[in-house]
Amino acid sequence: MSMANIDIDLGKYSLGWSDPEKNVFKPEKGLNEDIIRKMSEIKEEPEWMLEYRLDAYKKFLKKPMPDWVAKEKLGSLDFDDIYYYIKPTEEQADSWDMVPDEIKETYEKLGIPQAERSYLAGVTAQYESEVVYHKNREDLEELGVLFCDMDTAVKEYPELVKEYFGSVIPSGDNKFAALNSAVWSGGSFIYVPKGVHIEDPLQAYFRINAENMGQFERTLILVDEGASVHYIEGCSAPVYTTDALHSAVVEIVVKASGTCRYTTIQNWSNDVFNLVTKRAQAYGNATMEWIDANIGSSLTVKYPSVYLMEPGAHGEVLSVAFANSGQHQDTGAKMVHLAPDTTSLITSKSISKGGGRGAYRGLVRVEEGAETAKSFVRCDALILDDNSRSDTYPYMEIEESTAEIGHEATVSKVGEDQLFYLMSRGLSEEEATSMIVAGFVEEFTKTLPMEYAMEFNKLIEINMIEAGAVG
Amino acid sequence: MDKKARSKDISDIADLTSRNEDWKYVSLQSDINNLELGNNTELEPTEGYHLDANGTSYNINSEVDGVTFTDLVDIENPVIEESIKRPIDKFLFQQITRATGGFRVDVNKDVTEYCKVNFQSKQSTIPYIGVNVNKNKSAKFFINFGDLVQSNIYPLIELNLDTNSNLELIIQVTSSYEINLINSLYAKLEKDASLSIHMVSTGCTFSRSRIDVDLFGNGSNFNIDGVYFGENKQTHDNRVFVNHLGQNTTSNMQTKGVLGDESTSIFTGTIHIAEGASKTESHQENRNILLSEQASAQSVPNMEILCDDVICGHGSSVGPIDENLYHYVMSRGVIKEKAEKLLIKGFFNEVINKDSWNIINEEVSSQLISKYDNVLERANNG
Repeated sequence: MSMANIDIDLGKYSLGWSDPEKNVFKPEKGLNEDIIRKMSEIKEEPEWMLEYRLDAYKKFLKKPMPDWVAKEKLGSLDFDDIYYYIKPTEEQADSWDMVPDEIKETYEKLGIPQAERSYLAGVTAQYESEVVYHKNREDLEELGVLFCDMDTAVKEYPELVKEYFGSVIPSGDNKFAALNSAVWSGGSFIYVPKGVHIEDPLQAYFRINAENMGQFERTLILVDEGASVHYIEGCSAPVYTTDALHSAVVEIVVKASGTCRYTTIQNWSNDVFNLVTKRAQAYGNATMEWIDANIGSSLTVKYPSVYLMEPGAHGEVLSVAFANSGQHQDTGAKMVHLAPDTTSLITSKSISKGGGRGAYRGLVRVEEGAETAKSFVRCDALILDDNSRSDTYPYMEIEESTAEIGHEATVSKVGEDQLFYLMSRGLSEEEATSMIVAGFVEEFTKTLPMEYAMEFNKLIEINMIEAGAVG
Repeated sequence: MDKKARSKDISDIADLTSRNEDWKYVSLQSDINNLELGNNTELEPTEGYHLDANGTSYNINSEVDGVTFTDLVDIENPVIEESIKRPIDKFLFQQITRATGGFRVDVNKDVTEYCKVNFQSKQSTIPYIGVNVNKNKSAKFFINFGDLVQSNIYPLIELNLDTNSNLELIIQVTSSYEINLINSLYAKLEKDASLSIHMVSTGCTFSRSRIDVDLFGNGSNFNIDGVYFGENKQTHDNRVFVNHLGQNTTSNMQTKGVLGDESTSIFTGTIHIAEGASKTESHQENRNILLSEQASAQSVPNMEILCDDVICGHGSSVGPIDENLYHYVMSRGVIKEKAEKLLIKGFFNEVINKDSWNIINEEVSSQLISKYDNVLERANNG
């Protein structure tokens, strides 16, 4: 893959922004119908979207909290202590001094320029719930590609949005999808017309930058017949925030023979709850790939899924999770085979260290009639010390006799022979372990554009060496 | 029996539904939260078995040297004080508090011969079987739920293996009656103890076994292997939870099944390796072959690992017979139908041809094949 030629000059974002309505909305914590109405009004949304939000809010109130994952952490979540919508404003003071030293040090080690550091730490950027785009992609416009934030899409492409919004993930799918459907703000909208191939990855950065600020972005990607796109979300450097809830919904539809790859590098600071619903539908001979790395957050609950709707559809999930001290990464994948000759592959790599808990939770479901469907699940976990934990919960529900389903998993520590080999060549134990861990996740790193891959490797190294002893 | 359970009140325990993780995939009958139980008065002696039991009473046909039996009502000390991790749900609670009859077995000498127990019942019961193998002793038990079992039966089995003891246990479920057999088995293993369970499940409409094993002592070892064959609307539901608590413990699980007609299989299990349980080695394998369009299989082999110095792996698969194997056999001049039969035989032989299966190998093999023939015949007759 060629290096992305997108200009990452993050310092410029504040320049073009003006906000005539900045004093209209005084944010308050907690959620009620009034906040949703005001939010929809400020966004000048059509009536149907307001109705959609209010209906979702009712579902959110009715849905129980999931009781099968991270009970204690989820139990500590106070929905009344969260800002559900903050209108972007320029008034935020620069408070670089407030950013914790360890985050600053990480930026230093990663060699991130000062302008970008401030942006990542959330102290100079001007947008809160809304998405920042890197530059106007004229080349994309010429191809007929639509790429904008979701709020703009609701206004400018109402027909497309109305048809597909909530069609892959209904608002009542789960408590957090309902919450997102009620209070979503920002996120990306992409439409790739028939037969159009976008060579370079599209990217958008999100961040949370006010205290106790929830972020509920909503992304919808439509890949028309024979088209292809690679979308990259997030960034590998840590994104600083305090006590935030991040609950996104990402819906993707890949029409016949289309291809979509969605790469996420999640590195929220270690107090964020990251509870995300991601689902794609792949039609005849289409390919959908989720590439999902989770390094940050306090708790991540995320199982990207692919519904294989028509014959020949193919789904892939490559999931990497690094659970360090105090972290619980509950990640995995779901593949639902609904048509004959569909195939899927799930590869999960998790690393637990310093008391962290990494879990693979996945589902492969083959419906009756999905003849000769094939699916393979491979889960590997590395545990780096005696305080850490690694769980594997792979669900396989097979209703079709001609389907071939396999699952293999291993859990181990870093091999002493591997360590010995590297150390005998002059590496310290820490360096050797870092190198082995980097090798363990190489399958993931090699899917990334060069600059991301280098940053990711560096990050693994920092994660390995920070927080004391290795091995 | 479990102290934790006996201290509870039934009104504090929630009703079970198939939303409950441990009962997922099961279409629960309404009576599971309130078991209807009866009283069996008849007890026919059966040939070849040391003991006959009907869930209410039991009869010893021939003594086994070194083994003593105590009736449930006379048991002073429970075989197991309490389990370490097993959750007490409403079903298990009823088994523990409402057991209808049974016995405790104490093994005081090395016993090399299989001690055979045959169950029979016309009314629903909760039979209790407690086995206590004393220090350095070894024993073999065979428990049969055959055609004399004609009503729902909910066995509660507890095994206590003292230091360096050894137990082989065969549980065979072959009753051809349309009944539910729901078995809860708990085992606690002390230092260097070794438990092997061999399971055959071809009978009953709904045959479920929940097995919880606490590998408490260092160096203890647990093996379980089993075969199941589903026909008609049968469900074979196996749940195996192994908790590695001591150091240097090992466990091995291997279950294989073939599903025909509209039958379904459920395999779930968890390998739990506790903090500090270093040098643990654990493997888990579940393989399923689906023979017919309406058959289904659910497989959920879980792992929870809280320790770094372990070797742990699992594998699971569901699918038809491998095309390459067909090709291999058929290229040697075997017609397709025969090839399938041979391959299914081979699939099961990996389990039942082990030395530890010698005592039942032939019987099980012919049972499995006749089941296969039934399914094939039905398929051919449309």
